[in-house]
Amino acid sequence: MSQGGYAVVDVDDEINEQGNGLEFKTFLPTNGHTPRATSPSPPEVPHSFFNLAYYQTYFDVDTNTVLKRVGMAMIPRSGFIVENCDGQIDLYGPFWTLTTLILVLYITSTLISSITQYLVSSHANSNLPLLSTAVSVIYFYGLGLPALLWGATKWLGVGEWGVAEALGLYGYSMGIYIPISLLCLIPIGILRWVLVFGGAASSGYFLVQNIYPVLASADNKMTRLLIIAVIALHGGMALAIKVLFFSNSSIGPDPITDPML
Amino acid sequence: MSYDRIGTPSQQIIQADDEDLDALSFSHPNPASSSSQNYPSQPSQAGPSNPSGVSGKIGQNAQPKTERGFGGVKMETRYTGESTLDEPVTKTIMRDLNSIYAKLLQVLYPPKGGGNNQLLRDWDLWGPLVICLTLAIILSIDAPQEQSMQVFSLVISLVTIGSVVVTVNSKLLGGKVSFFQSLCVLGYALAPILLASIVSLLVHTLFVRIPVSLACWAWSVWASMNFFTGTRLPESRTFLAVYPMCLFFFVFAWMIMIQ
Repeated sequence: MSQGGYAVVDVDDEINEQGNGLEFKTFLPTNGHTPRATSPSPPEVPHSFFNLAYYQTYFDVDTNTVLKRVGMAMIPRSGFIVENCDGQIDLYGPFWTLTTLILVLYITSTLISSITQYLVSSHANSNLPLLSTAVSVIYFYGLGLPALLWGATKWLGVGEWGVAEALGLYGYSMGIYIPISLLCLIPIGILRWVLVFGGAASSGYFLVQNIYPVLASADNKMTRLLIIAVIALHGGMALAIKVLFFSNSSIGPDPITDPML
Repeated sequence: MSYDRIGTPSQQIIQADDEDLDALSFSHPNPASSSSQNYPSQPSQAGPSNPSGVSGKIGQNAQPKTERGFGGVKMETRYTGESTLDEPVTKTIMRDLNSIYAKLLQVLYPPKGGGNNQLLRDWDLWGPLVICLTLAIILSIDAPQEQSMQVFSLVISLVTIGSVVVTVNSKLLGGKVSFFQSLCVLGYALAPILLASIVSLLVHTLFVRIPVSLACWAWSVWASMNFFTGTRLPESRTFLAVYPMCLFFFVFAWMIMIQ
């Protein structure tokens, strides 16, 4: 019956475990008190990419600050982050600049096409695919490309800037297209080309002025060639905006866009 | 609170019963008992709003809420005034519809809806779902035949993604707001836009559509602002939280105008 004896010992062990469990239960009401006691203390910001509090440092801005930065980004000058953002860029401005640009592009292009169709007196239909086109083009150029560029510079060993700075520069540089696309409501073809490429030149110069110092800080001279890719992609972006959103525009025969396309 | 003397394990249950009586009678403010620190302001808010519960809108805000703790697990029970086990199904459905209606009234016209945000603390996503689906169906009926499916999916995804982005944005700016409560309010605030879409489905004149859409857009923004001013954002940041909401509602208003 030695096995029976062992069995009794086992039961004793189980009872001990249950006793531990009971002890744990009696602690629970006091556990309920402890978070309340600690909650008034300011929570520490953990350095985790999955915590919302981590991103709050990039949204620590006021209305006037954001408006000033958007305005200053339209003037192409170097040292945007250091001078206008005090070295700490936000992500509120870039994201909502891009979103506003999407909405403005959608509104102006649908307005242009429906005015045209109204004057030609055909049945007006909305071009809803334009909205998804605008979302994919603008978000890819404004969010995806700077992340890729930052990744490329990281890979090449130019560790002078963070991904937030790249996103911020690209986002703020797109702000100039908002007034330009509103001005593109004027149905004169050549004026639209001038406006879009004037905006592209201004924001492209802004990008070059702010990105080139980062690239030039590398030992390897070849990294500076990345600026060519930046310029080329920026020109392509301007062309895409013109063709996608402001092409089927002018009333009657189209004297300007036809020869150029 | 003479029950406090009883030191038995069932002490918490007896206390909860006591609270229940307090909440039902509304006669005196609940003496701060040990198990009700979660909503200290609740009895004082439920008291004044009791007359509005009498006036026919099934008194969601007057329902006594009871919180009990069983070994650290918090439970919330609500007494609806009768047994809900053996009532007809129509009654159950009507109660949910009434709750949606009461929340809608609270969001769209706060003075008439009781004036406190107590009602919105019990958020639901049924009302937003119904509003979002109805808006998508109406806009897709209004759209040209070959685009209707696209419009439907676009509206559904815009409502979901847009309200999540707007909520996350206000949380990032430092607003003290519960995530789902904010989704609930944004969904209910879409109701004026739904109204505009119904009007523009019936009336095709451009000179009716544009003022109606703009007015309903302003109403939506105003309704959601009423809620978000309670999120204790600093004065200098209020515009930063409101601006995305303006964009969010304007997309739909524009879709209605341009159709």
